Amino acid sequence: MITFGEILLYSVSYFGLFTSVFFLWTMLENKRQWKNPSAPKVLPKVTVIVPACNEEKTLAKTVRSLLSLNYPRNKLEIIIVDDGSVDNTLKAAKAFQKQGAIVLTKPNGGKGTALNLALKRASGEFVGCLDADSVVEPGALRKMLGYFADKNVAAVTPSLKCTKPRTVWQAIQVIEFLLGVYLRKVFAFLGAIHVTPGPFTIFRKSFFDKHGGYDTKTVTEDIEISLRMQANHCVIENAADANVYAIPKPTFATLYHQRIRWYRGFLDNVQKYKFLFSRKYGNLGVFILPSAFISVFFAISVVIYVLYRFVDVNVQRFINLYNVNFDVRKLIYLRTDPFYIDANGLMFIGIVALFLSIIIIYLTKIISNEQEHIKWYYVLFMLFYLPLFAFWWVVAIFYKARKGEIIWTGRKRDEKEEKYLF
Amino acid sequence: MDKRQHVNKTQYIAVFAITTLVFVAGILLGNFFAGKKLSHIDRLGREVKTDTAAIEIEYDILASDPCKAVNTTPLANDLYALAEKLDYMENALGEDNQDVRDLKNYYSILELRNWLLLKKTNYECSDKKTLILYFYSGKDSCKTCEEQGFILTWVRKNYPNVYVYSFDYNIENAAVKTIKDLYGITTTPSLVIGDLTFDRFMSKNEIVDAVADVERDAQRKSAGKTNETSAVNGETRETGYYTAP
Repeated sequence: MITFGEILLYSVSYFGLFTSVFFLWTMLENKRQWKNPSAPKVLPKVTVIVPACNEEKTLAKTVRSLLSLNYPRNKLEIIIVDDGSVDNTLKAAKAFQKQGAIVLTKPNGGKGTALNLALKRASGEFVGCLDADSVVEPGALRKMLGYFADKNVAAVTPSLKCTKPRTVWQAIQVIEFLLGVYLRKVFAFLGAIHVTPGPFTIFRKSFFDKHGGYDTKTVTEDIEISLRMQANHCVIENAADANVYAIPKPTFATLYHQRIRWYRGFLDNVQKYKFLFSRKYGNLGVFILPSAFISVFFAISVVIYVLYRFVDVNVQRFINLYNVNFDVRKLIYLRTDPFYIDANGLMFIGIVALFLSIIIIYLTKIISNEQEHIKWYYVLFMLFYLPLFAFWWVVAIFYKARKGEIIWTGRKRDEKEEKYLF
Repeated sequence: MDKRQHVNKTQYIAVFAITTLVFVAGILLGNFFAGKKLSHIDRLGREVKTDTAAIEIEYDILASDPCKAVNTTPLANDLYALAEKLDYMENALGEDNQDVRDLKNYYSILELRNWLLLKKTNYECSDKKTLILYFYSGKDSCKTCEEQGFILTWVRKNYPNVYVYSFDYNIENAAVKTIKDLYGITTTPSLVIGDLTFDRFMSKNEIVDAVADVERDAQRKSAGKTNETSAVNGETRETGYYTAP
């Protein structure tokens, strides 16, 4: 008789296999489009906004990376917005005024308000944002602009990667970010990008002029703006080798807060744009958004089931050992007989899935010019990411159900976290 | 709608077909290997059956003094190894799997045959073994059977002279039914240690004490029995108090 656990695991395997094959098919079918279209002969003016709140330690490196862009200085406008910092962020920003950067300051109100303030001053035909703890590669901007030759394209996303990890928590995120690079390219081919990363997504300014600035009520304005674009049938493209590097969260606590914000923001924005779950919005409505929720459901279910089995087996194991006074001298032995290898259907499907995931990582390295050796990061990711992912989603759903408010707050950089009020 | 956003039905259907093909292939492969494992257990069972028959014949051939020549330990170890693999397959395929149930049935006959052989050697030889029959059932009907089984594994690994024979209470088999009736087995877990029936969960210390009692009893009987001189070759064979099943 088939058990509930088997039904769950086989369902998850089928779904995972389907989405993997679908995305891989999409990627390979569009192999000719891996290369970016050439940048226009006449380069347009681009404004890059750097919103900053208590980021005195990282701001300079971010702005220097903008100044190092392989782009005519007279065509690049940099606007730094100090969002009510209590440290020396404003002083660090003003140091770049002599290099042409515009510096604005305002009382603390969150990233969205900072961006909107800068939008009013922006004079570029295209506008981007770079978080004050991220750095951009010199060639990134030119790689992205060619996509705007298509008038339907309202935004172009970069390839968002991690800086070199220093902690285990950062190492786990390396592959997650790389998978994000892959998925963003696939979603671009499907017309289904639904998250435009904060760091260095370039927008056509006319979109903001027509549809308004950033939504200041959400803490994930990057998700809101992309769903708004999809709702207006705009196209969002991706330049998979336009590399931007963000510092991954170094500790469990900071990573936890970031992810709760992201996932809670995603839930809030999907609720706002729930009409997107429709054939009218193509692959996004029919497959990508529904499968995002299915994958969350499956991740949580699998983790709960595995935890339950782990506890069940080990409680029994403990009772058994207790009954023999923990005398295991003659009970421990190594099973070397190949008979005991679990050669069931799930194992073979798992082997196929592992093989596919290696192909995906390899493809991602190719399309994004990734040079780092990532083998050990891959092992860490495979071991720890799924339970973390499930945990963050459970908490985000819990907060959503409790209807707690999420707001941006500004404190000292090291303690920066998103505050939750109930 | 931009052409990128357009739903390509052909792609969805093709991916569905590929995924289903890979999925079904994986399941079929898994079933293939499960079948191979069951065949392996069946082959082991036939080897044990042959070895048992061989020892029985050896025992009869060496009628004058079979005790020195006959070594039943390797056969018992083969039985335990077979039981472990059968247990593994039961966990993998479920206790309702017909192939597993058939193999368990066959295995119970092998166990009983080995048990009878050892009872005979116990009667006729000085090297006494303590024999335990253990009746168990599934988790749903017997909450403590898994613990009992683990304790008995510990006992047999730490007391090499103790042999444990485990029987699924629900096996439909005339021989097992006879044993159940003989020793009054009506519930699980139940143990028969020597010839005494215990119809409850027994702790490690209780089993060890019961085993010690049986061994003491056997030694006492061995010391107080009549010596008979066999007419065959003038050799002496000890006989004692034989409790027939």
